[in-house]
Amino acid sequence: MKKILEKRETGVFLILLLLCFGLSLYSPSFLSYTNIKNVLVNSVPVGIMAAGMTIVLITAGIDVSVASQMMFSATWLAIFSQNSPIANPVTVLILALVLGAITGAINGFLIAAFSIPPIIITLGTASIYRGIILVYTNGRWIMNIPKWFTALGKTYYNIPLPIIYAIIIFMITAWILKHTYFGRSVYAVGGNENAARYVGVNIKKTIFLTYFYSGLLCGFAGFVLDAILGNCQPSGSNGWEMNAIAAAVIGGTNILGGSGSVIGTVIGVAMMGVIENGLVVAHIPTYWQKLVYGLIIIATVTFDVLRRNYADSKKQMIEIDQEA
Amino acid sequence: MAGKVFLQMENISMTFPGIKALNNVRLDVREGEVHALMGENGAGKSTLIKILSGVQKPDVGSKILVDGKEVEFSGVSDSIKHGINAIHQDLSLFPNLSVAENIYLGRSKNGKVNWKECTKIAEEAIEVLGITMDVQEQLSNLSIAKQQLVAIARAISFKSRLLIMDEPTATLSFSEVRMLYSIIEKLKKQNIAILFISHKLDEVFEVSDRVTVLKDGEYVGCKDIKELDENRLVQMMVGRSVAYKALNDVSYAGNKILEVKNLSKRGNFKDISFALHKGEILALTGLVGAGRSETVKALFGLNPPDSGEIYLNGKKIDIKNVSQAIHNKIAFIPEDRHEEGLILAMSMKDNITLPILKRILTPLRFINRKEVDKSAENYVEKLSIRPSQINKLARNFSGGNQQKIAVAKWLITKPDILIIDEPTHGVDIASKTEIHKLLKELAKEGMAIIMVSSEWQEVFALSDRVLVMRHGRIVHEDNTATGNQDLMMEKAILGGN
Repeated sequence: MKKILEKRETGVFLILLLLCFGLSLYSPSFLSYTNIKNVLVNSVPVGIMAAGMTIVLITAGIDVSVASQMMFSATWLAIFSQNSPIANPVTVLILALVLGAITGAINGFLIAAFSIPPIIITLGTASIYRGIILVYTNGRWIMNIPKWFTALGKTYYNIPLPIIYAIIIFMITAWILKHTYFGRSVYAVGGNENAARYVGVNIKKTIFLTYFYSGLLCGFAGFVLDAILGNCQPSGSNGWEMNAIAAAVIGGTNILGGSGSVIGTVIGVAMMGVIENGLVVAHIPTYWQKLVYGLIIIATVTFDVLRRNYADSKKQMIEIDQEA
Repeated sequence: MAGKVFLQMENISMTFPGIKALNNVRLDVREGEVHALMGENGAGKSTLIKILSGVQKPDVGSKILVDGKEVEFSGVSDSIKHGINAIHQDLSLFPNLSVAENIYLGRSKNGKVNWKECTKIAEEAIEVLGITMDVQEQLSNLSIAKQQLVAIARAISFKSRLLIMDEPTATLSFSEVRMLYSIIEKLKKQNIAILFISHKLDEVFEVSDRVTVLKDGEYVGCKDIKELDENRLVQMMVGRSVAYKALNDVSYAGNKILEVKNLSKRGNFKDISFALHKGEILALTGLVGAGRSETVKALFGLNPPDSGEIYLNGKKIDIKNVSQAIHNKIAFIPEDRHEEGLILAMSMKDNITLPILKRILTPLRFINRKEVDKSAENYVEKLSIRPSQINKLARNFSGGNQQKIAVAKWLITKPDILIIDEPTHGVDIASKTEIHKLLKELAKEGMAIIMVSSEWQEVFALSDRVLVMRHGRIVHEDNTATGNQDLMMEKAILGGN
């Protein structure tokens, strides 16, 4: 019990509950099934990307190309589903993963093989992936995604499919982090790269796989996005990479690497969704969103750093002899 | 006692672009022996260890034999497979992971982690050491000494037959060093060989059976420890005998420059009172964790005290932050000179002149580059920093010279009071002697020096007076030359009465 209370995730979760409680007092419609469902479903694409981002951040890396990778996947999927005779749910899903694997592998290869700082590579590739789809589509929206595709984003028996997808992704990611050699290597590389090298962890391979996995999830997020929206705007989802990073950081992932958890990120994603929705429910103009986001990110991270510093200062205490 | 030969390294050479780091070096280690590897900084010890632990590949023609069979290490996992494990100086552990996982990591190549096995392996390894520890504890919650035990447990858990310990005692207190020795004894009994790297001569004589000495990347010799005494060993290492002691001439203590009265800070130190005179070297000693560094940091504004008074030249002063300390002509050279002292990506001259940039501006408020060069050259000569190229990046100097640069950086402020924390921590013997001489000269020129040191030899060789701290208090004060040295050590370890 004490361990649970000490965990960073618990604190953020309590803040989330408090926020929900406050909003439900302000507007009873906040707690309605439809509203909760909307909040969660709208958070799914960012949530899936944030899962991959969590792994990337734990290695002390960063991937600012996730939104572009997702739109890269979403755009080709939308075009494919409208035009190809072999388009069906299975081929679309496979194509989504293949597209994500390609963009992720390119990121991972460039970062791992040449040891170039990931922020530079992913800034570059973000622009390239986005540029390719903008050139091809001339920036035009792709409307009317087939019914069989959007059916994959609907709700059945009150259970929204996208949320099921997200839960599966979170569980797989958490399992990878906890129970695979790759997952533990991720913590090792981010915690102490030299030490990881000395115990025989293949650093380059681990880093490659990290971005590869992040890419895979982005490809899948594109699939979910198309299914939910029913159309595709190649220039859309701008800035979502920041939401993914923010969700992970709010959930306790150390941006300097070494620690973080999927459950924390899930809470972080929910928190961002609730804030966004809460502003709408509270009739505050949406233009306030960004400002509030920023404040929340800074507040949670500052709180976390203060907490850690406090813990450190307690550790350095010296036992003083009371008698001279 | 002499077991059979476990490891032989022959004709080991290692060439880096432009430098021959090792030239035909040899080393053989027997089962169950403690084999010391000695040499000054830059002698090639680290390179040899890196080759032995599979981090680096030696030149063609180098031969490594394990149990008489020639082997090739193309990666860390190869050397682990042959029973060779290194415990690096920085321990190379993962602070964010549990003890158990730190011990376990690097296994389970088939991709899955077996957490039950992880706990079991960790508990077994801890048990072999004959200690108790909660293996689920996060590593960063442990003391450095315990973390080191984790590193040893980790190495043992790989069925290690040769443990490489790189400066294992550098960060340990006296009692912890004792504990380490007893564990080394246990390992010896299990026929595990230990390659022991240390700069401290007394340790080498205490624990090792044989010594191999390297110098400038060449093999000097391998001797039974019984055939050697300290002077002979030092001679092997530096190629000449160094006058290590006898710096202790009578120095004159001038006027009282600093007086501290009843300085206290909760959880750090209590009722600290002492005086410091011009031209005096005052040693502040005691065990690690006695509150020495915390006390001197208080004098430099890094760790402001809760109560107490500080007088400079008889005037009461406040030191709440570093700029007040610098303003009062106090300089502080921290223990971790690489991390806290230098900006490695800047040139040597820019590093050295950083603290005085504001004083050497041209009338138009630009930096006077000529003055920068002049001041830097002055100190390069004074401290004999090599190579003497002031435009070279600090990164490209050897460890000993980087430390000198860090020292120069603070001397250039021309302080009245110099506080130096562990002045020769991790420095080779020749540089150590130079640093000692330098401190002595500075004191002669009238500088007042407070030196924090855990090395008794250093304390006795260098200081005029000694303050012994224990559990945050000063428990003993004495003149170094006339005082009872055994009593000082006893006070540090056992405290009052």
